Amino acid sequence: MIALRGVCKTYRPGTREVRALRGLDLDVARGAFAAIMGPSGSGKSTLLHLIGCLDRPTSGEISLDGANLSRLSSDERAELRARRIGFVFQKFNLIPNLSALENIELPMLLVSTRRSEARAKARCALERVGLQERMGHRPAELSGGEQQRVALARALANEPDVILGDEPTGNLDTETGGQVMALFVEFKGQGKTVVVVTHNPEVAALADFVVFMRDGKRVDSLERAQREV
Amino acid sequence: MNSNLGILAWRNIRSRQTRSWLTILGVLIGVTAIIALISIGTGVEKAVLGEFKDIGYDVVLLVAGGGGAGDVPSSIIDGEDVSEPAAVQAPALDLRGALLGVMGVEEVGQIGTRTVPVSAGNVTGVVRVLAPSPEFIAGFPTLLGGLEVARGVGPEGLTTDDVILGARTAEIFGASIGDVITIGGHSFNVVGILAPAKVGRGEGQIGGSDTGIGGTAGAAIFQALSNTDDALFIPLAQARELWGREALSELISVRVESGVSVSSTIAKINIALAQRGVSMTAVSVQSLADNVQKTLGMVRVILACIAAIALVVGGVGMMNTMYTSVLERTREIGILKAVGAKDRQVLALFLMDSGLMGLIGGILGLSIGAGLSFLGTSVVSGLLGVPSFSPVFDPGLIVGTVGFSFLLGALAGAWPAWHAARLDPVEALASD
Repeated sequence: MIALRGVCKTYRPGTREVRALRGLDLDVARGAFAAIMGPSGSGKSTLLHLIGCLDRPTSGEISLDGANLSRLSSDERAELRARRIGFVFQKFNLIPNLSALENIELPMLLVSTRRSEARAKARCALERVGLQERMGHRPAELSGGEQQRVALARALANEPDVILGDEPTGNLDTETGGQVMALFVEFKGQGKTVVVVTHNPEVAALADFVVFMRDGKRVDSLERAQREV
Repeated sequence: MNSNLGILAWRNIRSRQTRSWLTILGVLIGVTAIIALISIGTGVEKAVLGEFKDIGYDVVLLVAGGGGAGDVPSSIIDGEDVSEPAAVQAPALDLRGALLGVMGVEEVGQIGTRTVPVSAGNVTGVVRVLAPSPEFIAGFPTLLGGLEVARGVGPEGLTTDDVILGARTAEIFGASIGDVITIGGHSFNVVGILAPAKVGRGEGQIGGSDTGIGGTAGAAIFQALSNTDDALFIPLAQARELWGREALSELISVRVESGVSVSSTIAKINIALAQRGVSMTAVSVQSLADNVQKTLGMVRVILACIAAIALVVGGVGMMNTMYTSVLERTREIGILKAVGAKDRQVLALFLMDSGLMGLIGGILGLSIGAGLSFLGTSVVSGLLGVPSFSPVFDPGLIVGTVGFSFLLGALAGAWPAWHAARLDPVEALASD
């Protein structure tokens, strides 16, 4: 269960002050698929970074299964990112000098998984996303869709509870985007909590509920049942 | 420490091969220079000190005068004369008896030298005559480098009117056993011909005036005994008879009894000589060896410092590479943090990255330096005409240099690694 209460995030680039989130409340139940929508600058990515422990809120509380993430140390947050959270980014964010297989091994090696075990799991993960033939290829040798599937496999490497997607289909064509989102739905089916930031209504249509944001605030939300009506 | 970080660091080095190798090259050159220079220097020192050890640290050498110049090296020039070398004041008395009376003196040998005109058939030239006493031949053979006889008898078989020729002397004069040659106007029978001396013994010797080590007295002493290939041997008694004591440069060798202090014996010798009004300089082989060791040690330290500067320059190059690498890999650092890397893991990753490059540079530099050392020693012994010697690889030097290379690499990467570890993951991910 992800819960946000009165979360604010203010950035101070130079002398300016940017209020990215302004007192946000949100609950995402375990195993739910949530989509976050809104215009650019509405605070969607900031929200995802806070849930994913990449950043800390300026005020308010974020908890994961009751544990307050705001109070965790830098190391504890890193540990949480490694073991319980998987990220998928719009720009794929694979390490260019590593092969597909090595990219997937990376999170496992960081949590001291034995190398042979990491390799075996990475192979399974690649098979799971249908890229077993491309394991020795570097990101530059893969198509956008293939890169995103490798990123998905990497996100699942340490079998996290939560998968976070920041515009995961933003750089993909409709067909490839559909294939990638089908994998997200599959993860949700396996009991993982999925939170996806998107501009794409077709992606949002797959979610259990959609949160609409504007200017750092939640302006609306729709359950699947409401949308179907 | 997560050992997998080593794998990740290695993958990074491997994936940026050109840059990694160029960085490694800087360290490699420094380590190669250190290993080659120090091992050659240590090899030279060991070889030179080995020569002194052969002579014996219990030997004291006495030369005429207060440490003045020795005899001038002779040369053989077919059909040409060379200027007569300046004679050094020789002791007017036969000091053997007096020196044997000094407490602590075990044996005394004498050898006289003089350069004189020599002719055999129609070949004439100027040759250095070495005139050892029987006690010198029997008790101090190593001072002449352990002469090997090719034909006939050796110096121990010398009697009146006999001569033994050095290898080159025999070759130039075309002399063989049984021939008669004229030395300083007197006829001598050739009874022996020596084998060519070992490299170094035949031409120029440790402590020679050309090397300047061992002090003036030491230089004179060893100069007097050098060039055995170009010399000839006659008995000391006959040389004194022919040319008189004053015309000979004489060297006295003294062996100190086992267990007796060499320095106190030298003091007693000096007193005994002063009582007889003889002006001679006493030099112990030990002090010559100490001087040589001190000089070579200094040279070695200077060379090591120069090589160390090369290594530090390599380290600065590595720091530059690592810092550039952090700037280029900012996004990658963001990715690492996003997938769960802790700050200290990022720090360790970059430290291992640079440390591994230092280590590789160190190991390769060690191998190349060792190879160059063997090449260098043969070149040095060939060029300088010193005895062939091997480089000496001190285990401490090897372990220390390789360890220092790793440390240098890690230190060079420390600041860039610290910078990388402190990057904010969100900002790092947003960088292009």
